Amino acid sequence: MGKQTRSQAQAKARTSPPTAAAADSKPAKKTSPLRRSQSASTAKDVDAADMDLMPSSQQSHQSKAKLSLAPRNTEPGEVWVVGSGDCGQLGFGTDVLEKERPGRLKYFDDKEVVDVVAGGLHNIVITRNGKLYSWGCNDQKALGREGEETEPGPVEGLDHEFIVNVACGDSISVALTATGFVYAWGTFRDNNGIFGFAPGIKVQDRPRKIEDLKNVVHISAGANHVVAVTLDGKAYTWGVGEQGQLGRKIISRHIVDSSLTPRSINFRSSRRVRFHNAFCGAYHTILIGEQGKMMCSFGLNNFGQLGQGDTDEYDNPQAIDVPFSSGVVQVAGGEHHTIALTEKMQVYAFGRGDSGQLGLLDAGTAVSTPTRLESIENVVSISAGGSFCLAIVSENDTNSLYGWGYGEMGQLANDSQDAPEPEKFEIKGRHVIAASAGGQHTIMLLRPKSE
Amino acid sequence: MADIPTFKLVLVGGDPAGKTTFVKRHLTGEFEKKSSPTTLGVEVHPLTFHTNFGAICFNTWDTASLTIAAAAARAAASRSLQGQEKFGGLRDGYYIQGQCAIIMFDVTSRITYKNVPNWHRDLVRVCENIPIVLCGNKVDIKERKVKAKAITFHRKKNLQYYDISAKSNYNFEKPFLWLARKLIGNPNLDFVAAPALAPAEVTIDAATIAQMENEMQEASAIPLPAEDDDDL
Repeated sequence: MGKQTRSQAQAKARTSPPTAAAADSKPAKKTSPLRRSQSASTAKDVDAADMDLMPSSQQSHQSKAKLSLAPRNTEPGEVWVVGSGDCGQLGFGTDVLEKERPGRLKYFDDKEVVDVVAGGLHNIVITRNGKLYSWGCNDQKALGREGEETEPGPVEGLDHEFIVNVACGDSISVALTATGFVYAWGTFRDNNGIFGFAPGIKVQDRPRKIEDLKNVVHISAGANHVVAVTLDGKAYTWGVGEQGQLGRKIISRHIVDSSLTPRSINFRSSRRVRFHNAFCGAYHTILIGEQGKMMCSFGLNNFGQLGQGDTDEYDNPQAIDVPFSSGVVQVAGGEHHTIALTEKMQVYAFGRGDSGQLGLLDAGTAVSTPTRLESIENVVSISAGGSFCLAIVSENDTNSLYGWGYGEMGQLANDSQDAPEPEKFEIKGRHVIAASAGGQHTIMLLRPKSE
Repeated sequence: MADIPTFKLVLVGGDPAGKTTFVKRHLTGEFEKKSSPTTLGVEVHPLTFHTNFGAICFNTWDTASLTIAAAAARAAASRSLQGQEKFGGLRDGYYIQGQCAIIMFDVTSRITYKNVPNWHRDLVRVCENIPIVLCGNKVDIKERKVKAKAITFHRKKNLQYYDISAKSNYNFEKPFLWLARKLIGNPNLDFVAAPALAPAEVTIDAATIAQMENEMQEASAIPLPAEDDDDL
């Protein structure tokens, strides 16, 4: 979970027709692998306005140059939350257990938040100067700090770093620095309880740098696993692999160490495929290669959430037969479902549908092949939580938020009902900068239109 | 035994909520493994209780436990569907003809509480209006994380809630008694003999029990929260 929306995509949508994204990446391919991965990933060109905030100078594509990633968004906004708060995930203290209508966390009014990420039961936000704040369930230290968990507080131990991206799972949190290094904290849980954080570490209470991982350009987290994509096109996974979501061989004699050590995935293909992005559902993983023209998947597939046209289990990457010609720019996965956003700003859905989480009225229990969600267009970014989805839609010169799927806990801000099709959030005179779907709650970054 | 009123009880919840430990406390509930394709990986435990209206049996369905080694072997070698069942979204065959249900979570791990609404949804989608009990297990453990006050889901959905502790047998029979009264339709039904349970592995002292029950009582008196004027 915690696949947050991409305000970068939003910028792209405003400045160029959607098909231009593919054209963008083609000249880049010849000149610099860095630029290529930037075109659809976390990295993007550093805006002049942000230069003073960046810890290292603008990169060249010489191999020795230091990687410099920029945040996805630099426009600050208000932080709003809605849905279930019974584990403190709304951030309003110990007494607010639920919100049917979005409430604003005034704590952040002066903090210049530029990105919001929801996990299963916790949240992390990123400020304009690359700092993190967290709140929610801290049972296994996913907050990376001590202190009151039901109210926001600063993540500790990252003072020297500029964070550009964060991914939140159930009990695990991961942060990507501007220089391409990865920190993580919390733990991974399997079917029997706590599985571990790293070889020899059960639970990690403060951010810890993941050794041996560098030049990372993208991170994503499932409920209990993590994927990181590097500049040279490799995808590394670690965490729990019970459902095949690590996509690589795990030595059963050393199951804990073998699972918890980041290792790259070997994709058997007629030619070498470079991955430039990767996204996790709760128990599955989708890798993107070939400028978005190739998707492959592995992990839990009990509802066809791998998009393979069946419900077999795949513990190695399998290419998805994609029914569209435009590239995939973003994927988001929930507990048992997946949505994909294409360069044409269209959404395709697959996996479990019995709570309306595919947004397809005739989905039935499940759909195992990517199916176009025709009721929504001009989508600039997507997010998926437990059994629901969010999409930022460009319409009437503004960005609106739509949601669909399971809504009984209030996460769709619609009086706690399911939404079988995309429904617009009522956000009174505000536009949406970013939004992220958690286990049973939604976090939004909004800005009043008058400003 | 054949003429005892028998009901299918569906036991669901995220692992490791302690479902299997719970059903195995009842010593006469020798289980049979189901092996047809639709119930692969399911164990059915016939749990019999003696009431003032005669015996009643709950055929309690539980997903078979999967060890780490088994999971590893599967991850390494197979593409079988078994085991996928464990991770939410049990097949309809598990729920079909269910007459009552227990949703279980672990009060020491709030992550197991996260999906309670989804388990409930899955149940009512197939079984519609059956009596359902929500159980917070492992209340014997001192570091309780899911506080009584935070457990509100059952109030919105009109479920019954019980704190339980499988290891200490605390409240073991409560969910069954509540379900039996609902199924028989008589609030005066009572258990006349305690079922044979495995000996308690831990004990909860009387003061702690009194405190827990008090907190539960207080929590149920708090009105469900209203919205603020600041909200959108």
